[in-house]
Amino acid sequence: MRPTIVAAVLVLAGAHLAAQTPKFSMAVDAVRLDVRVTDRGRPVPGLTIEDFELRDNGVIQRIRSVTREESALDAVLVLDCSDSVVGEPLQHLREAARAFSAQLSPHDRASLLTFSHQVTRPARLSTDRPALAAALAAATASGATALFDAVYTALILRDHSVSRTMILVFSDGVDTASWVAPSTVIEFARQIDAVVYAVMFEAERPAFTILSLPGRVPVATITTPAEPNVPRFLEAITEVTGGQLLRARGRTGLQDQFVAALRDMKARYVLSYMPDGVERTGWHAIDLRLTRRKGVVTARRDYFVAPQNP
Amino acid sequence: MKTVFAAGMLAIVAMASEPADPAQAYIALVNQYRLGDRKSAVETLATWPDADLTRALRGLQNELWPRADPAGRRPLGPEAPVSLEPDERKKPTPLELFATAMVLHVDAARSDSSILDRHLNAAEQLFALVADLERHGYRVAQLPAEARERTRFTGLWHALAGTIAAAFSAFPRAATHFDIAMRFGNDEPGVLIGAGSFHERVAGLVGAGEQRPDLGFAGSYAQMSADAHLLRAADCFERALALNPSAWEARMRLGRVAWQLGQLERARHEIARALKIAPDANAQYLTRMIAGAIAEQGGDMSEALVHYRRAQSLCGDCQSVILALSHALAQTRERNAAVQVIEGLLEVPSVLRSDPWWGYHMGQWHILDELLEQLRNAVPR
Repeated sequence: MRPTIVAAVLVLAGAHLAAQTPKFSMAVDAVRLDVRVTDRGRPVPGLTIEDFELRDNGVIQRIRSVTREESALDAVLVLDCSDSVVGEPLQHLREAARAFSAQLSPHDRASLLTFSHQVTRPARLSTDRPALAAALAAATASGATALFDAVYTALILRDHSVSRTMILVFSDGVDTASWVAPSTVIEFARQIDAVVYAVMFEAERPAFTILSLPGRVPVATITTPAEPNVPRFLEAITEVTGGQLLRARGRTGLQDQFVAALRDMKARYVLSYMPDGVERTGWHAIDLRLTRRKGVVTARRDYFVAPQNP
Repeated sequence: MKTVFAAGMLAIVAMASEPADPAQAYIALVNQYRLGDRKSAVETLATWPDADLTRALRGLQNELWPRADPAGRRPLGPEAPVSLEPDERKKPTPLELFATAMVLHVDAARSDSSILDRHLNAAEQLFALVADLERHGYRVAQLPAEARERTRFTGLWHALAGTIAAAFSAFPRAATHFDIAMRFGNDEPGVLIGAGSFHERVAGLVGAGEQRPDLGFAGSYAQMSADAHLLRAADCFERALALNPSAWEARMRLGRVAWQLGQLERARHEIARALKIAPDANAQYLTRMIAGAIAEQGGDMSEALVHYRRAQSLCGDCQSVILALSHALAQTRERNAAVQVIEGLLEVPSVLRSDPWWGYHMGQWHILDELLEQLRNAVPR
């Protein structure tokens, strides 16, 4: 589908930024960038404004602040609970999610979306950890896989939040039931201010069964992956949102990767600037580099500002 | 202990009442299926180990034609479970037995991907066996000159096998079956729609401008682009419509394929026609959804929203229409509404949800029982 005009991914975060950095006017649109800086895979600490050079649509911008963000984080877990994780894998998935939850700060909020061919929300965004734990304990696995639908849902639900948001997606490598096309989700992700992390693994051989309940539409379910449309999707969506794709070695590696994703998010810098010398609306290409230090910079590559509603 | 003992006794009784020879047991199962006790026959055959099935198939010929007569011919023995006499109605002809076995195997194959190959291979062995027997002068049918019904059966069988293989994502296998089906059943709208649906799905997997060696295709299939699959799908649907202009599924899928090929005007035209002949709520729902997607692609968001809202009126809790509506609303800067519809979906208990879209890529799986019945009715004698 063609990219169309939607609301801005730009952080129209007047109130949010005003709360943290009162010198910004609430009326001013500021852009916030979540930035990962690593050197040989390790986070680079101690960077300041002077360490970055930022261009917005080719025009150098004045960076207003660089922080290693201590403010609250919204973490959305999007977990594959289809047939492919029935049994022990589901238990590993629960444990990984619990370990993730345990690493959250008390003021961080978390929610849980699960998906088979259906997308469900067993836990709303909140700081209520027991509720999250209960939702994880109650999660069951069955059915086909609608990963793209689930990620779209996570993105649109994030739309009105002004908090930093990480979406952690777990899937095992196949989508058999989504309505929303992967390209549509990726395009949409470019317009939403959330960082997507993904954890996946691939098993050896495919095995499909058909889930057929009386009066229901039969769906093909999968117990191990066969169609590698998901790896390409996850690579793309983590790239456009400045996140990271992590591969788990076997089911037991899940816990490590879930925790690693959260630590990585927490180790990010948050850059703020107010675009200057560029058209306000439309797509903005971002070019961010280090000036004085060595390292690899990972951030979203662009954002979109919709024209004002008439 | 009592329970174990009782179970053991039951097993012994069951063994005693069943033919010990795998070929005999196999023929008994096929007859059970032929006479209407299908569920039990399918469940039993589905659990047969490979070795037993192999022995059964190897023993079939000797079971039906135990020995040659002094003239060197191979008549059916008087005790044979088959007959070529039209007045001996209780017994099937050999061809009917083989064909019924093929139907039984395809019926069993749909139950689990782990036995798919075993049963489709077994049925293919039967096709080969029939050809072999006839080549060596065995009579297998009452009217060996009547080729039409055998051709039709072969086409329908391979289309069904292809549908099942595709549903289990055994794409190379499905491709082979559909190719054969198209050779034998290209005057059957159902076969054409099945083959077209297969190419439509593979086009989605291949993706624009990409090669997908991981799909396992060989030969010309390995080189086919998404567009090539879409064009082949369109050809199948057009041929189906030439045979039956009121075939809604062919019309709807042709519209979707035209849309994917970028032929928006044609897509609109076909979908508009499909909407007029959609036979039930599910059909109308899917057609509305495709109509919405086509309008969205063409940039007409208000028309897209009209279609999605009509689809929603047909299935308010269907996930696909909620997501489509949400995305269309988001594109029209109705972000609050886009979020609200999703919030509404998430409030619906998952046990209450169903969605025709979930079965779309499984081709004609949604009418598999009908296709099996059609195949049973097409069994040649």
